[in-house]
Amino acid sequence: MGTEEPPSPTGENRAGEEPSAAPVGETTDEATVTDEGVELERTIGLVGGLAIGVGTMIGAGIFVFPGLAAEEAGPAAAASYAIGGVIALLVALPASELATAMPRSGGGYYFISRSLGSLPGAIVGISLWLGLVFASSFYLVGFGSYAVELLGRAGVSLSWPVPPTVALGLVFGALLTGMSFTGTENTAKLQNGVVALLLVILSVFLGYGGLDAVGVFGTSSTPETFSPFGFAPVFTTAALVFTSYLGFAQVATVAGEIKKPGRNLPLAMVGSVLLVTVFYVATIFVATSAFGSKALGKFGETAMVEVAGEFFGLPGVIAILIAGLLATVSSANASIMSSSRAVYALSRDALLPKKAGSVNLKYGTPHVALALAGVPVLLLVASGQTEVLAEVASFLHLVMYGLICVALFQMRRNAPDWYDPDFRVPAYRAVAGVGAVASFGLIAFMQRLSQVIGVALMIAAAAWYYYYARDVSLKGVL
Amino acid sequence: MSKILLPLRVLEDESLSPGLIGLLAPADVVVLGYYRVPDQTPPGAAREQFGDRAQSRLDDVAAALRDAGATVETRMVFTGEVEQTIARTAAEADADAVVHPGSAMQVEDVLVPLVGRPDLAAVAEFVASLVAERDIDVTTFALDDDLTAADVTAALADAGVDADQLTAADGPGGGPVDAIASVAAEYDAIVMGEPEPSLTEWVFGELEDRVATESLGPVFVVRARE
Repeated sequence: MGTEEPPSPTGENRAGEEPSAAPVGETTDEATVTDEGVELERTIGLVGGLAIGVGTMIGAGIFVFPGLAAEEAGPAAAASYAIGGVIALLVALPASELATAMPRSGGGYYFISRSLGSLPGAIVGISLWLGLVFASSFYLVGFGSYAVELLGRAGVSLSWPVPPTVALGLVFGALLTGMSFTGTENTAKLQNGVVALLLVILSVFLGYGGLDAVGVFGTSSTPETFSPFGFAPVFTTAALVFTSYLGFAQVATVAGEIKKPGRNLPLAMVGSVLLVTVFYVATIFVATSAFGSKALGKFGETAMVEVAGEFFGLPGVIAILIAGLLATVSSANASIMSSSRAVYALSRDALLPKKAGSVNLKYGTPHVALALAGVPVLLLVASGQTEVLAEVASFLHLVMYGLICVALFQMRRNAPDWYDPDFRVPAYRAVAGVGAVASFGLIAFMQRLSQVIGVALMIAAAAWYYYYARDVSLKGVL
Repeated sequence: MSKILLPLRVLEDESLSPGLIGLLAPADVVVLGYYRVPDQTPPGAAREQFGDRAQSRLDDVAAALRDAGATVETRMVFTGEVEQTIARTAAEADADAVVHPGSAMQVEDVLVPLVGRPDLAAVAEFVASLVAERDIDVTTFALDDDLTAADVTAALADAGVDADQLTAADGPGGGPVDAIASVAAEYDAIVMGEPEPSLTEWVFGELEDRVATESLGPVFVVRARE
């Protein structure tokens, strides 16, 4: 931290509430100490940080998208994933630098509101909240697909008036939100365990499948044309599957709780992106060599189950079904929790009513923020639109990612005294410049409906800011 | 004078019994007020909501201890990992012991079961400072095969515990927790060494926590220093 005391946020919102005075007096490796001497313990280590990143991402990338992506782009879907991975990495580096300079809860919202001001901050904060809501609904629809597939294979066929995928997604979404109200213990440890189990299952599966595909066992599969539909679908598919890379920024939303933030934040963000990129590319390679991309597309959201069946028979099917259920549900849960943290960060800065961040006396949980995340999730799950949900989630995140890169330029150029990151991006102009262009550019490849919804939500966010919190000033403060 | 860390869930009205205040009166006490934040809650949000109330409860406890004659510092922590917070603050304050408050009206006898690391001298010294110039009986038994009752009484006597106050009992047998649990309720307070990490520690949780659950009174755990 710099020697000079950074200024505090000023102004008030329509309800006359002011941003809470910056509580931070000192940031140590193990705690944040407020200026009144109250300590906030940092409890998430490197493994926990990686688990948040990987756990949020892997559910979508491996268990939902491969079929949809292969149908659109053929085996070149692997390139789509690689493009997504490169963009994510280009944003993860600037995000790491900003997070080590400002290791506070709120992630991208926090950096952008502090470096670019409260209007971009409000738009990004509200986009982050809603983007995570869209992402979470998308994961729950994926969960529903796996649950229906599991029941189907067990011989249970559901003939309900509503699509069973949606119904099961709704039930689990309600369950997750309900559980988070009452304050569960050890969800973090559970998350670590789930992620470890997933990585083991996937490593075995991809290792064997990969060797098989190159012809170590039996006959080598005949490779189909790499990009049967040309190169344009590679980019539209990249825009679709980018939802598989939203998790690294969730590490930054809990930056205030990460131990040794100077070291662990960059490692967790960059590490989780690299790890999932490798898994994604390998998955597409294995999946497209087991079946042709057309067949994969027909299997839809649960294509991976068929692929596992091809290699390992029934045990493989069961393993991937269980892994898919765990992965999608843990992604959904992590996103609801991150979304409620975004709401808290906004209410702390008076961009949303203070009530939104209040903590329940009985359970000690932020019940209003959780409801603001959980209830819209259920409404969106009911729509059952996998691809649109995913793209709107990506849209809202990509806007934030682009602005994170812009924020890095701003901070490097007009560095305030307190700006002293432990991690500095090498060649930051190139990294953040390409990162920003690529993030905004990817939006152009989305479906028209997703773009319209995304733009409408951003305009609504800006309108809210002008109506409710125009006088709040956050730029350049801590 | 020994330095004692006293973790207290201040917001849940965990408070001090008269017996414990009496025991702590001559000591240097660091009162650690803490609030266990659920995984869903950013610690900062909990502080914003509960910080003032927690601080005023903590100040009340500190005032009660000061009135009894103790030297008091306070710390307030919002944490998702209570064990981590206690370990960190104990190390930062360089405390000799951590006390689980329990409840006792008046402390007339103390049980000193010797388990865990061979830090006999540290435990003996702490016991001596706790009972110095008071009418408190000390009963001790060794649960370690390498220690005899004679070793233990000798160490306590060396540290300055009066021979009149001292009784060496035979260990009741069985595992350490069962052994302590079977007699714990008969004593007003317990002093023990910091348990050594072992497999059962990992599986069943902290030995000291289980002892604290079984005994009604305060449990002092003397820290093992490197």
